Amino acid sequence: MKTPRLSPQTLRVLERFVEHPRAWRYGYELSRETGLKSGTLYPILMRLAKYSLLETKWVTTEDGVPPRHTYRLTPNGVELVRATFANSRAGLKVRRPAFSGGRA
Amino acid sequence: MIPAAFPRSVAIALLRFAIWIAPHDTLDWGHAMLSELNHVEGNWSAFLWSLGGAGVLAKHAALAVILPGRPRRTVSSANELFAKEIPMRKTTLAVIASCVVASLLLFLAPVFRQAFHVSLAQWHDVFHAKQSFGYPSRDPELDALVKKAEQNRDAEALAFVAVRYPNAIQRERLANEAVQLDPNLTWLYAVAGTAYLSPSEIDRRVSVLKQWDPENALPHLFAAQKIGATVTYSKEFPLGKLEESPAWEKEMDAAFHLRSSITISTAKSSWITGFSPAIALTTRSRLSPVRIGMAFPTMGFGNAPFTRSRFSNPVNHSSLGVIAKPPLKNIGRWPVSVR
Repeated sequence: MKTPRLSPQTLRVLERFVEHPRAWRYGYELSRETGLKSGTLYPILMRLAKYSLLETKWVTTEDGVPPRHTYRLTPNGVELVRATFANSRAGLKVRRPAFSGGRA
Repeated sequence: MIPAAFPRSVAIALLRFAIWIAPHDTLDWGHAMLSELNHVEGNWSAFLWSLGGAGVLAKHAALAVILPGRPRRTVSSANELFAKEIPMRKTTLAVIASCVVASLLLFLAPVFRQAFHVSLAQWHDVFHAKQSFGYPSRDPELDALVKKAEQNRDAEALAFVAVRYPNAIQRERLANEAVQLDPNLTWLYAVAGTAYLSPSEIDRRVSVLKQWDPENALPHLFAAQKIGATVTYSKEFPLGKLEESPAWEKEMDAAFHLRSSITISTAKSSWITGFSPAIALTTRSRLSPVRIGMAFPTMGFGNAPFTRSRFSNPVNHSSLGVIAKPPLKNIGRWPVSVR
C-alpha cells in the first residue's frame, strides 16, 4: 500500500492522533496543537485522506453555525501511526515506516 | 481607521473566491477551511488562516489548468454538469489534435512546403538581420563572396555583391572594382549610389556614366544629387529654395528631358527599366532641403540593397519617393557565379 511522504510536519499531525486515534478532530484545533498554519496543515490532511489514512465527516455542532469538517484516522491510518511511532521509539529514523508488510 | 472586523471580512471574501476558482475535488476542503474560519480567534488570525487556505486552493486551481487530466471546477453544486465536462474536454482535445494533424499533413504537398518556406523567408531578414542604426552593416555570407570575388578578380561576382552589400562605402568600392575589371558593368555606378563618394569621384562617375549611355538620365540625377547635398549642407539656400539653384535646375531639367529614356539599355541591367517619370513627380513635388532624402533623387538606388535586405522585397522605393514600375524584380536573379 502506498503511504504519503512522512515529513516532520506530517508526523506532527499524526502525533496528534496518537492518543485517541479514533477520535474526530477539527482542522483549527489541529492547527493550534501542531502550530501549523492552514496552508501547511490542509495539504497534509488532504494527502492523508487521499491515501485513505484519514476519514472526513461534516458535523453540525450547533444551530445557525455552519457544519464543521472533522477528521480521524482510518484503521489503515491507525496502523501507520502505530508503526511509525513504534519505530520512532525504537530509535529508527522514520522515512518509510513498516506498514502492511512494507519496508522497514 | 480600519474597522476591527475588516480583516475577517476580507478573509471570508478571499476564501470564497479561492473556492470559486478551486477544482471540484478540493471543494470540500475549501468549505472546510471556510467553516473553520468561524472558529478562528482574532480577526488577523482569521485573515492569515484564509490566506494560507486560499494559497492551497489556488495551487490546486493552477495545477488543474496546467494538467488537462485534472478536473476543473466550474459549477459548485451541480455535479451532473461537472460530470459532463470531462467528455467535452476530451472532445475538444480530440478536435484540436485532429486539426494539428491535418495541418501537418499539408506539409506532404510540395507546393505547400514551398509556399510555407517562402512565407517564412520574409521574416528571415527581420529576425536575423544584424542591424546598425536600423540598417544591416555586415553579412557574413556576402563577406565570404566578396573575399572570393576579390581573390579571383571576378568582375561579375563583384557586381553581384556590390548590388547587395549592406554597407554603402563597401558597395561603392566594390562597384568601382567591378567596373575597372569590366567597363560593361558601368551601370553599377548607378546602383552603388554616391552617398560616401568625394565630389571629385562623383564627377568622375557622372562623366563615365554619361559616356557609357548618353541617353540615360541617371548621370544628371547624380549630378543633381551632388549639388543638392552641397546646397543642403552649406545652407546657402533657405529652406525649400533648392529649385533656385541654377546648376541643380539644369541637371534636373536634363534628366527629365531624357526621362523617356531613363533606362540602362543593357540586357543585364533590365531590372532598372522601371525607373519611370514618376520620380519627377515625387521628387519635385516634395523636394525640400528639410527632407534630405527627397533632395537626393538617386538615393533610392543607393539604398537598394538596404531595402531588399530589410524587407525581402527586391526594391520598393515608394517610401523614399522613388517609384519603380514595375518592381525591380530581377535584382535577385543576377546570372553571376563565383568561380
